[in-house]
Amino acid sequence: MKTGVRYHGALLHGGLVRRLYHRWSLKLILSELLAKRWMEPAIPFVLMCGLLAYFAAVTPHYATWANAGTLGRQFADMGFVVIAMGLVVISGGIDLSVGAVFAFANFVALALFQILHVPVPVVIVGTLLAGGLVGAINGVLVGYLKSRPFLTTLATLIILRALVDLLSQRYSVQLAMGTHDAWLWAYLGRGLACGGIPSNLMLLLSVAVIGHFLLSRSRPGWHLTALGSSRKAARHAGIAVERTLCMTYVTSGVLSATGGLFYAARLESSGSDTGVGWEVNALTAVVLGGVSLAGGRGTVARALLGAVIVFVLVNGLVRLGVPGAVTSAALGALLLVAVGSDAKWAKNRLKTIQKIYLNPTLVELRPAPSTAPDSGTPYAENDRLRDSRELGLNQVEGPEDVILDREDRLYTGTRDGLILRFSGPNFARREVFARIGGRPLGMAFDRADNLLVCVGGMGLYGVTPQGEVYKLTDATNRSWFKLNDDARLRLADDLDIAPDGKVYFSEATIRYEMHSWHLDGMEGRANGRLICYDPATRRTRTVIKDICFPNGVCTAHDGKSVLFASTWLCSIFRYWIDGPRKGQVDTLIDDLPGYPDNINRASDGSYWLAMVGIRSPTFDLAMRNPGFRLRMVKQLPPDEWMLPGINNGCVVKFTEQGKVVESLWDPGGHKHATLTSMREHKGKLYLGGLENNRIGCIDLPDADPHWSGCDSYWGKRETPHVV
Amino acid sequence: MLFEHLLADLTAVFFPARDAADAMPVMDGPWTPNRALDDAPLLGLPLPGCDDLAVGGDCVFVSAGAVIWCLRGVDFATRSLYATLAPGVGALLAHRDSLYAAVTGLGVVRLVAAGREIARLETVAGKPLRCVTALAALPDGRLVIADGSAHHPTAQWTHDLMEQRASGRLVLAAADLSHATVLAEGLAWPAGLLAQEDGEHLLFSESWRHRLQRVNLQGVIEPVLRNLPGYPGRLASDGKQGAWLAVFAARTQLVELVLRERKFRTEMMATVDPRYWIAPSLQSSGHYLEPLQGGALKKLGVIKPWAPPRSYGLVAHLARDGECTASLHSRAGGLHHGITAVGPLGERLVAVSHGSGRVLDLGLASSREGRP
Repeated sequence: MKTGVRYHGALLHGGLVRRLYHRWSLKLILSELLAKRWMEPAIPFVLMCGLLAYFAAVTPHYATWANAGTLGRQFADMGFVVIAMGLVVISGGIDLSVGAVFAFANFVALALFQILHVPVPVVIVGTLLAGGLVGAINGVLVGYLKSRPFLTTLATLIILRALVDLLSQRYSVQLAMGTHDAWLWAYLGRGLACGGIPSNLMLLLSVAVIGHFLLSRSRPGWHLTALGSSRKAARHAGIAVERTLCMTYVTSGVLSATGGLFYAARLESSGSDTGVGWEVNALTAVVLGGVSLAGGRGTVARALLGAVIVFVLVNGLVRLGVPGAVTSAALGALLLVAVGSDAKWAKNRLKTIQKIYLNPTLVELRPAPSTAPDSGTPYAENDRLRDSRELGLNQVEGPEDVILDREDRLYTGTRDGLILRFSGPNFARREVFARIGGRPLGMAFDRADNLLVCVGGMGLYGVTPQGEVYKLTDATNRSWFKLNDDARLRLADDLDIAPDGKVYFSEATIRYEMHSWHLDGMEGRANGRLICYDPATRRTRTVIKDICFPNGVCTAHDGKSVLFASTWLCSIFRYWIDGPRKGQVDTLIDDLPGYPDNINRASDGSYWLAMVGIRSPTFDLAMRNPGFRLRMVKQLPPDEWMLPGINNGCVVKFTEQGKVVESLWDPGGHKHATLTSMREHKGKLYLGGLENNRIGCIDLPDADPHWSGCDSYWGKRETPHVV
Repeated sequence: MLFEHLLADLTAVFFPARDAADAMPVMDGPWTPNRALDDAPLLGLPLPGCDDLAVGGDCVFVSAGAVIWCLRGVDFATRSLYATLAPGVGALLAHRDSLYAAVTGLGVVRLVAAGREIARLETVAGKPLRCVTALAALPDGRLVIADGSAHHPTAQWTHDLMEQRASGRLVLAAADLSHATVLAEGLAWPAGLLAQEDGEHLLFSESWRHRLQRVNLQGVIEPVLRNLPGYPGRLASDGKQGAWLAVFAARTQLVELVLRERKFRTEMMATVDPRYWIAPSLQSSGHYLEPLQGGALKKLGVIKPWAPPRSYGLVAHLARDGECTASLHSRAGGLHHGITAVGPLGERLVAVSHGSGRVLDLGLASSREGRP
């Protein structure tokens, strides 16, 4: 039964493969995946897993616990340096001195411990202070004196590197002879923290976790990221740009020094090649992991991800016996690729998503009965709406739905988010009944005379007779296995109320917004759903998923079923809410010559249906050619796209059995283009249009002159409700 | 072709500027839209189906349907039937003492006083002359005939466009319609002719390629003006070595897309009534079965004039060097669409709007020419 709603119509020609191809679009999944933030580091993650798997396969004893421990300890030193670099890059700068600070810290730690024999805690503090000092020099220069980060840190790198070389030569003998030892020192270098994890790796992970929280959940972290995104905007937002920048470099220096400290404790050697080229490794790792060089985009986790890739690659190549020069070249090439794809990705990601988001699918409609004036069908074109009286001309903007209350007052929602009320003789008195916001669409009165409104962009709202706005619901249950979050209501369209008070309403599409509803038409996919809100439990749940643009909703006269229109399929369905077939869906009409919109009760036990547009042969053809539509959307500006023939006004009447009995036309839409709704009330029919500047009214000579919607739903009331 | 769309995509990626020269131009500069055609008063009474005009003596000849009318008198309100030529009359040329008329599907006839036929040309170089779109006279008295297509008669011009034909030709004939020879072939719907005063050259419009070209009497063609924003039709002299050009429809992005989409176009031509094709038109009824474009959606009761037009009214003035200097428009939502002919009537400029079935009086020709 549900499949009827989905596949209906798509059965005329074209093979099964073609239909499935258009039904399950890989591009659709891809576009929704790309829109997710967590997809950004997906490629580096796959690369990391691939590298690990490769080296595990080609290197003996690679995937062993012992090897993991050794590698982890070596990796941790570099991890600190990469995080240091990562922070600076996120802030929009670059720190080339990380490798030199690492080497400097290594020397300072060794000197303090082996030559000066100071206690280990003092060594730790001293080393970190030394790193922080170098960072502070960078920070003051870059932050306060506004020098360029690249050249500044390059200069620091050169000076510091020279200093380390000088000092190492000068003290090489003392350092080499040093035999001083302490348990804490040994623990730093070789100790295992809880469960056999190397001490330095453990600290790295802690720093990473804390760093991640600081960066993503704390004020300084946000300031740092904001700075990287746009320094000017950050300044305008009141962020202390100079101080934040300076502190970023200080942090970078301290982190690099931490790496150097562990390195010193582990190897106890102060070679002149310590930390040489690490700035390049760190930069490669950071960019590879998905931290944008443009700043403002990246996390600690991504930096570490890149670090693992670079470390595993370098380490693996060395183990395979590849010469060091080749390894460097490989790393350089990797940096080039990473930088190139970073620039492309950052620039084009949103554009790419935009380009592949819309995925037209195959929509094949049954041939429709003729609408020609002499065709003799119930759809035969006439001009019965041409002489309609115009109410509120130029006083309303887009009355999508109209409704009348027990006191014969006329209500409508407009595109500026108002509910207007017209009353008095000839509806001359216009007043703003409520200000909801959003785009008010379908309306219905409940038993207590509250006006319930579907508001595009907001959800389901109510207005009391006194004009107070309250929310019924703006979310439904989220469905499993959907990438796009479909809990929030995007485009609640029309509603009706069952005798038990449950509100059934349609959500036209979950992939587009109110302002881009026509894109859903270009796509033609079953993106909409029918939702039920139960005022008794205040629960909202989706009753039917995957409907092709469900639009008008109307409770049947007997209250046992709900009728709903599927606009792009030109069909009306019936959903049973009571009786033996409860929960099932029937197709009522599936060959409308136009696009159905709102459905409402008629006084003679049948139903009125507004047809917002008429099927044109070329548009039908385009709906059968998804590729053509796709290229149209890509190559043409929106104003040049094809639309269904909605410069037209047409209302039809159909019986409980789904037989269309008559139609009322305004061909060409001279008065009622884009006619979306009609409401019968005491022998008259009131007309509303999504893009119109008036409400129409015609007499129905054959209708019951005392019948009204409120009576039909909730029974006659002797004493009218007094406001 | 199997991979035509893929190839088109790859071309767009690797040679992004390749089609820039042929990109549809916006109407700008001298082409800036205005309401000049919509504001123009009528010359005489409405004439449904009017197509071309010619001025001879005190009479303005207008072809409409199968009839050639003669308009004369004050404001040209007096209308008399000059000749009836079934099944239909198109292009007209008043030359010396004769009126030459194109008869739909049959060829060219020469009429003298009171509409009497004295000569007829039906075949040139062994091929029937079925689609005469324009006529012109050379200073030496000879006649030039534009044959739009070898495949379709004039009325089915949208078929010719949608099939992307280029089977039109230019024919040279003596004044008595003898000695007809082909001057140029393989043209994509030549629809306008203007003999230049040097007696050696001829300006002609090639509609489906949106351009004006010049041909000498040896048949050597050279370009004059390319990539016009519409489909150029008939030409007329402005008396100063420049020209008036009737542009009978505007190009739209959607039609250009459909022209690129071979499969869609073929299916459309096979299954859809030609009245409802995505194709340019001489008039639009706003009927709900016609294709509708986003910008043409009626909002708050109004169709915006900038909406992509299904039909359009456009007359352009071209200076001696072929550059456009001024233009007169009737935009979307306007009435005077489908200008099939334009020409001077004494000091005045008149135009034929096929779409609305009216002859328009555009006032002093010199005031419409733009820059001096």
